[in-house]
Amino acid sequence: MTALALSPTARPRRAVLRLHRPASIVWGAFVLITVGTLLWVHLFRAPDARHPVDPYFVLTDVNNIVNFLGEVLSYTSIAVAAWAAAALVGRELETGTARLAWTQSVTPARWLTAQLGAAALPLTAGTTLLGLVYAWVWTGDQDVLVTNWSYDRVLVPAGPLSVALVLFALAVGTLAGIALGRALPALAVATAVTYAARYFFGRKWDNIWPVRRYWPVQLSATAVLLALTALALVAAFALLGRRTTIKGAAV
Amino acid sequence: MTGTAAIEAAALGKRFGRRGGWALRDCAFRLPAGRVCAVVGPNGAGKSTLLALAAGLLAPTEGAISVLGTVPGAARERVAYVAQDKPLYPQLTVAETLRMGADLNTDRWDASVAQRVVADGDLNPKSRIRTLSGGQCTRVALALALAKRPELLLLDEPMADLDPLARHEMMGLLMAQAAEFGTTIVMSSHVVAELEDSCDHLLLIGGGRVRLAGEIDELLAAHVRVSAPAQTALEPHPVVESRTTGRQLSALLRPSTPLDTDWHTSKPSLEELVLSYLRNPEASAIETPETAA
Repeated sequence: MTALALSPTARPRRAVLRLHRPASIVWGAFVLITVGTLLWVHLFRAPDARHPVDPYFVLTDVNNIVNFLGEVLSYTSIAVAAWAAAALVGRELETGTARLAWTQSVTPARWLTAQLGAAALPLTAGTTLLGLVYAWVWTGDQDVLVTNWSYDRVLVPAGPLSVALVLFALAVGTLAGIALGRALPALAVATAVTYAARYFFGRKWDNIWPVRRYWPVQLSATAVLLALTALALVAAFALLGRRTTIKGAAV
Repeated sequence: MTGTAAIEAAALGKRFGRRGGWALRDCAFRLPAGRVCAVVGPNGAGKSTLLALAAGLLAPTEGAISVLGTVPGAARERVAYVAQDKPLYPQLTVAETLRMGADLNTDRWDASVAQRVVADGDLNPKSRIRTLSGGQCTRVALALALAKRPELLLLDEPMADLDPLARHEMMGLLMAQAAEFGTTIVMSSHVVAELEDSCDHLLLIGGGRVRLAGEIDELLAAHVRVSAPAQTALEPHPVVESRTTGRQLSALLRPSTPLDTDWHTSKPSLEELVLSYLRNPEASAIETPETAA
């Protein structure tokens, strides 16, 4: 972080990834299965729906699947907030393993940076991929979908808003974990705040705009969420520094 | 005062919360490098708080503490700390825990030390931490701490979970580390007898304050257990503790001048010394000259 950083060769991110291997596997599987299902819809179910031969079946209906996936994707941030608050940060402080990490050759701030980096990269990559595929399938198959971009199950997952919301969830979870120091209360607060953000930006934000157009709504919501994410991260690092270390030694 | 102190505290105090009580107050002492120091005191005396301050995990509320000549946070590469509850990541295996130590201490890590400590305890490297007993966790925590090759090793109640055999063996391991690398070891305990043979320096904490600090030999030499007839005036010698049983007075003194020759005197044991100070909170704190901060 600075020229004075201790042990520049230490590999905290590798250690973090080792700790959260199960979460990485779950996230990877979720992304793969969701992308696979969307491709299946686009390549097989949507063409079938244009020339129906099969009788209607609730689990293979194009609208049902796309709506369901849209709902699931729009709430991904809640799961991320819960995981970040409880598993990534809150549990560490609650069980004392944070003190184990902080007394190795890395500072608390560097450990938190590694935790955030190890989580943010796969979350950003996965959410971006999901958003692109969802937007592509939704755009291509609009003729067989009963839908509108302003529905929150479309607006939230189909654009950069989804990435911003997931990063916001990560930051809020981290802040709640550090502020509360315990897994369960942090989980409750972080999921509530993230749910509120998802509700507000998914359902209310587009009403604020006099001319309702997709990209201004998407981009403005993304920008506001990223600014809030930055604020939450600054608060999290400040709180961590105040709680743990002596001034000047935090980086 | 020669060389760099391992730990140096001046007017050190720590209070938890704005309205909470002081866990530690007005602490001033100097621990020279290369010592094996026992931090003793009753439960809740402030031992863990002092060790956490030295490890850079807590910021002092007032005063200052320096570790290896710098602020505790900046010395964390050269300091190892084992907390009282031996926190480890339950989802990792023993081998993964050691790999984590290697990742986080790349510049200092000695894998062979870690392997040896773990292997001596017949621990399967593939066992998950959550399946280990308390004593086995202590062993893994000590393996992490020792493999870092610290200059200062802070151990909070390190032996509490170990059976007598393992305790003896771990103590041997720590003493070998101290002898071979000149590591300063600071370990807290409320079992004084456990530390008497292995430690050469004492820090007695009671009620959040330093009651005694210094080389154990010097502290013992500075005190005398006295038996004399009741009603004997003990002045001008500072009295740590005195008790009258029938016509007999027995006291622990810190003689300032040669003692009366007709008194029966004996050398106190470390445990007697510590208990006398703990039983008498009003006895004044002393520090041997070398350690006065």
